[in-house]
Amino acid sequence: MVCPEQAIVSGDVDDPGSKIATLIREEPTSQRRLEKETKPRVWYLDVLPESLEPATAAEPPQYLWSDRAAPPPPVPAGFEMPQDLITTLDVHHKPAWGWHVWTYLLTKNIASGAMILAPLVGLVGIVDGPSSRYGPEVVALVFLVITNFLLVHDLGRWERFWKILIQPNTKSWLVKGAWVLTAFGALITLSLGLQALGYREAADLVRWLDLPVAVMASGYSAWLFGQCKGRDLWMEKGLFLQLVARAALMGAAMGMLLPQVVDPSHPKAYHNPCAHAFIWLSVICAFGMVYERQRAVRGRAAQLSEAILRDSFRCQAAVSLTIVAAALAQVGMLFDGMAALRWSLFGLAVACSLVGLFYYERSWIRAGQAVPNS
Amino acid sequence: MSQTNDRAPSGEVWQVTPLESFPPLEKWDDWVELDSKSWPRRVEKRYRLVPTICFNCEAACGLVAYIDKADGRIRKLEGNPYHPGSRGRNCAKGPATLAQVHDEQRILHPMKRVGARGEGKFERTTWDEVIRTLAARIRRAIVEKRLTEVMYHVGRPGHDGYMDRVLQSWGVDGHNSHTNVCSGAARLGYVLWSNGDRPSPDHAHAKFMLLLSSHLETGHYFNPHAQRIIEGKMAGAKIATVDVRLSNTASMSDYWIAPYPGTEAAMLLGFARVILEEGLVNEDFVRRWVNWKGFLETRRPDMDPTFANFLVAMKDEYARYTPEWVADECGIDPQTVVAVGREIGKAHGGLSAHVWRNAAAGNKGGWQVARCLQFLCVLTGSVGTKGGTALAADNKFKASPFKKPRPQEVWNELLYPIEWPLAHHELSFILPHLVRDGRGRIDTYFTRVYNPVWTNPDGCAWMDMLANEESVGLHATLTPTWNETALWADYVLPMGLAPERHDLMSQETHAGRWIGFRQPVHRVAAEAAGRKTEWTWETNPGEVWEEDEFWIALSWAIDEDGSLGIRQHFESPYRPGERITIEEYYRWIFENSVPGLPEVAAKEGLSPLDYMRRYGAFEVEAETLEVHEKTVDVAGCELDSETGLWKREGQVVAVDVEGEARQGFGTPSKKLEFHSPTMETWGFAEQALPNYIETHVYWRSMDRKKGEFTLVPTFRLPTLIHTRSANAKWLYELSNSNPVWINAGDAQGLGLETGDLVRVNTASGHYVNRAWVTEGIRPGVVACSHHLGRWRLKDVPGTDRWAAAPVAIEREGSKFRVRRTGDIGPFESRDPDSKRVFWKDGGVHQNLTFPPQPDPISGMHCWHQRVTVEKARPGDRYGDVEVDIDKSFAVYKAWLAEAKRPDPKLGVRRPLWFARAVRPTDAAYLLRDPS
Repeated sequence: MVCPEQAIVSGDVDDPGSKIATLIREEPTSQRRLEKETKPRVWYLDVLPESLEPATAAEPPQYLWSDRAAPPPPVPAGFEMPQDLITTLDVHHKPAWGWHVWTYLLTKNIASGAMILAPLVGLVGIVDGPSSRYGPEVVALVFLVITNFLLVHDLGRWERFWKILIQPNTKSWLVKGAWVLTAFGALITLSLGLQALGYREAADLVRWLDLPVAVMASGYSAWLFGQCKGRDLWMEKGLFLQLVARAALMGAAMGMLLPQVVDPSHPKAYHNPCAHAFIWLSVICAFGMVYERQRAVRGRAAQLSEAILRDSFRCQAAVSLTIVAAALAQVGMLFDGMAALRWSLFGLAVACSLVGLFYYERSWIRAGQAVPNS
Repeated sequence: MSQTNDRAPSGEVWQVTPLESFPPLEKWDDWVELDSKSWPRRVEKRYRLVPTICFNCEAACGLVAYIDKADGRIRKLEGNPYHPGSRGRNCAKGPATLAQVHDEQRILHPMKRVGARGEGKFERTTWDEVIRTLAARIRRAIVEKRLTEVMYHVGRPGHDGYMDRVLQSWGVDGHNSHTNVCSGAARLGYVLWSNGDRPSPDHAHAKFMLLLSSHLETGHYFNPHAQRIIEGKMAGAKIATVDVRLSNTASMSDYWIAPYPGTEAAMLLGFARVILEEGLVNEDFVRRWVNWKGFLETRRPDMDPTFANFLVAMKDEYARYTPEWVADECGIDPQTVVAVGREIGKAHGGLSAHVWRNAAAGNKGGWQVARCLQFLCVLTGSVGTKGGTALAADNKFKASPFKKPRPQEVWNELLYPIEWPLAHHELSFILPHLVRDGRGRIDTYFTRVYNPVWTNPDGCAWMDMLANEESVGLHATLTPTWNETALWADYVLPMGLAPERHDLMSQETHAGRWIGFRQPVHRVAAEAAGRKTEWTWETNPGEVWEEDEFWIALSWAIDEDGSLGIRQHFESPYRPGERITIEEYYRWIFENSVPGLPEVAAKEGLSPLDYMRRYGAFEVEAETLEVHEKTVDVAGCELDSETGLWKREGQVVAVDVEGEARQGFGTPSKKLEFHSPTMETWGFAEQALPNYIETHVYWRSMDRKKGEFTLVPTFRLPTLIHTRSANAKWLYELSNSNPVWINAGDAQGLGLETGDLVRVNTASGHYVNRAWVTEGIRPGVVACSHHLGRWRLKDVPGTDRWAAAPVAIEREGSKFRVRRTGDIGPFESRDPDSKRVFWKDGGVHQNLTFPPQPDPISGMHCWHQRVTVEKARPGDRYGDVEVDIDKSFAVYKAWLAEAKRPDPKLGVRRPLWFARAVRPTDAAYLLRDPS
């Protein structure tokens, strides 16, 4: 028996004779956020709607009888909070997702971006050489290893990782994501192996085969976040495309820099279409960061999360840095004959882009969790 | 200011029902449960379940300790389904006792002071040394006839009558209590009606509940009452809650009424007038049970003494309390006065009403609030009825121990000073002021589960007295938890928590009678496993003892040879001449003093003691109603036709009510005294009837423009219990700050927002706290909860660090300054939770800044303060407190001047029919020449 006092009644809802079924049938009950379609199995009797709907009460700097374990979420300018409804006590929950997650989003996109670039190196005019033959795979593998490390570390206990592999919940995008990343890693290794053994055409073919997997490796997180039904900010439509665009941006950045890093002497390195792609993708990504998010349901919690995101200094900085990155790349392209200056500007542009994306992922992950779930 | 809520969902399944499940009694000796912390592994744990009684508030709810057979530690505390009061349910404070039992900072051994008193330096000593030292001292005082110099000062008694017996066996007049900072005023109001000093409302069956407090969350007997209030509400009763704050209870009520503090009596008389004018009086009851004839004869000689004339006379008496006048005086709606007055009138026998502290404890004349509230019960005939309000004495069962000592023959002026002949309890909170005033000194002073330095008003005056070895020769503090007063003790004596001690308890939780047995569960388990123990401290954590045995050992040592006549009271009734064991003490009571218990126990094949050990409680009577109506056999008695009293050999045994001899009430007239002849005789004729007295914080005398407010400093929190929550990490995790509530409009005027620092100035000092801005409080009133603002002197070991902030106390002449030297925060200990402390503030100790304000009649400390509130000044820091004890002493003097010595012609210093704590002989009441 969970609660002998019966303040909480638990039992078989499907048995019409059970106490809980009788209560649900005969008393007015409420449920929490049905619009989320999570089919909640908890019914509340005589509950205030405000206690089920997040972000409907103002958050004071202290509680009625208690200090706060963490300061209240910032109230963005222009966001109206009720004057007469105040949270008087709440239990602080540390945000479940922290630096592991926003760092993983970035490192995963770098790995994905590298392999989106890989089959295209020939087409976009990157000169043939070690940089075009091994560069994308090496970069992708390094960042994929970091990504996997972050994922496993975030699980807290290593054995949980094995549990995901051995006893998978096949409906979960955590599991599906693990499969995608495993396939992604396998194909990269295969392509690298074929290159090393001299089967260049076969390697190119594997690169093409890996392209959709690289896209999925970046974009599957859209469904993973979509599973967090309580986090309105993460429910946005078009998240998949945004993630892939950011991966592609990373690919373009690499394509812009790779020849410089690996083979700077080659004359054709100067005519790199990746710089154009970098500029355009930066603009697209910046737009993605500021556009009005489209969601199936826009409750107060969603509005507050989004307002917090917009209001966040780092989010604003992310947008600025992404635009600045595009501008620097554009300026760099003007200096056709001045290699050092051009490469410095390209390098600076990519640095801005990396910091910008890091900031954005961080703000987005944090803002998504800033509003309490209840 | 009222609101009406929709009815709660109804239906049978919502009724309060017995617990759905609990380990069956036959398995209590060996109960197997899976260990939750080992999940998902299935690890079986074996427990012995031993019942006991909670000690964290006075309600005495049942607990059951799960004792792990592997290591003998208590694993958890749950409710006891066999307890008639709590019925298996508990509030947060009960199970949290476990955190206190296992607290790493707990003092586990008797400690003796080594530095100067108040310096906080102690070393470990032995119980033997403690007993020897104290016994020699007390023996000397007794032999030298200094019978008023030994004082036992108790905060939470936790038992019924045990100490009365100890002190009377010593022959000293030394029982002091906390009552006059708590319920002294309400008690006087109730006593004047019936000589029953507490209400016992039958909420479960009420038609209308009138609560002057936040009963559902914190009220007196919170847990037993709250579950019955909900029961009554589910059955259709309505609730009106009178409180300046929109408490959780108020928000669950049908009416929230927030009159100006101190005008409650006017409001209640407004209700009474509605009942009188609209003919809603329960005439049958009033005619039979109210002393109306006496009233008419004394006050209305112009009228024939008929009941019809009494109704007219009452209307005359309360004519001025029209809804409009009341509304204006109290700051409420006239419609509310009429609506609630009618609802009360229609309750007709089913009005359950309760005040214990609230307005009665806050205001000068607060005792009249209780008297006016009971007036409504009387008018509606709801006294002792089903769904009405009984007297505590009818619903509480006091079992007598063996061999009662003779009453003491002395009167202690430090306890009941001559200026307060009608004080219901000791003038405990002005003890330092009386000592400073030269009224006496104390040779040996016990504080027991009592923390006057922190809890009482003017704590700095207590520090001043306790630090002075001329005023207090020796101070021993007996306490289950760490407290501030212990810093000024010579001995700190750790006593058991709920599962570490014996006590016998009974409380008026509902219209029935029960006893509960508190027991040291480790000892019970050890003895069940075959380990015999002499003293309870052998099985408790460390050397934590229990008072019952401590007093036996001490009394025995005081009179080892029996020459003082003390020893005989501590000799076993079963083994003549030998020292009694605690088991024998309770065995005798259960065998001889509890009707029905031996028979019920025998049916189960148990001795009465074993029955109580097993169940932890016994229901003496399932339903107790209308005790006053009991007929009395008056064979051989004489009827005094003048008074209607039946007497046997001069002793009143019954009262004639319309031709039948009935038990009646405890007043001299055996009736409910609407008109109190006692008040008339003792010089308070103007207060002989239920009446409205202007408070010391009367709103019309406040200048809001100057920032003057009434401070309501008394409200409780649901999860804390005064300072006894110490060492309970779970409770302080829930509640750890006490900001000053201020109405949003008032806050705007002062430029305050929630979280801003405010300075609150009283007549003797000020404190600095944060503001909590809310619509949920009456404008013109600020409120600050007590319980919080615990402190510790820096670097004193063994002090609570969950709730107590480190402070430095500086003294300059009469001026004290308390300033925090740090925040509460995570700390190192073997308990990993100590690193998880997230709170910093810990609250502000406001009571230090309150001068004592003894009510001129009841002697109760009038808690509400006239204050000015301002934004904190530059340099003010959170938690700052400054006090001048000369200023507070001047306030004491001013209130003292309002009190009234009895007329020497009365011959005695107190009405003989009034109860007195540890009552001395009648001869001690005689007034002697004041010089």
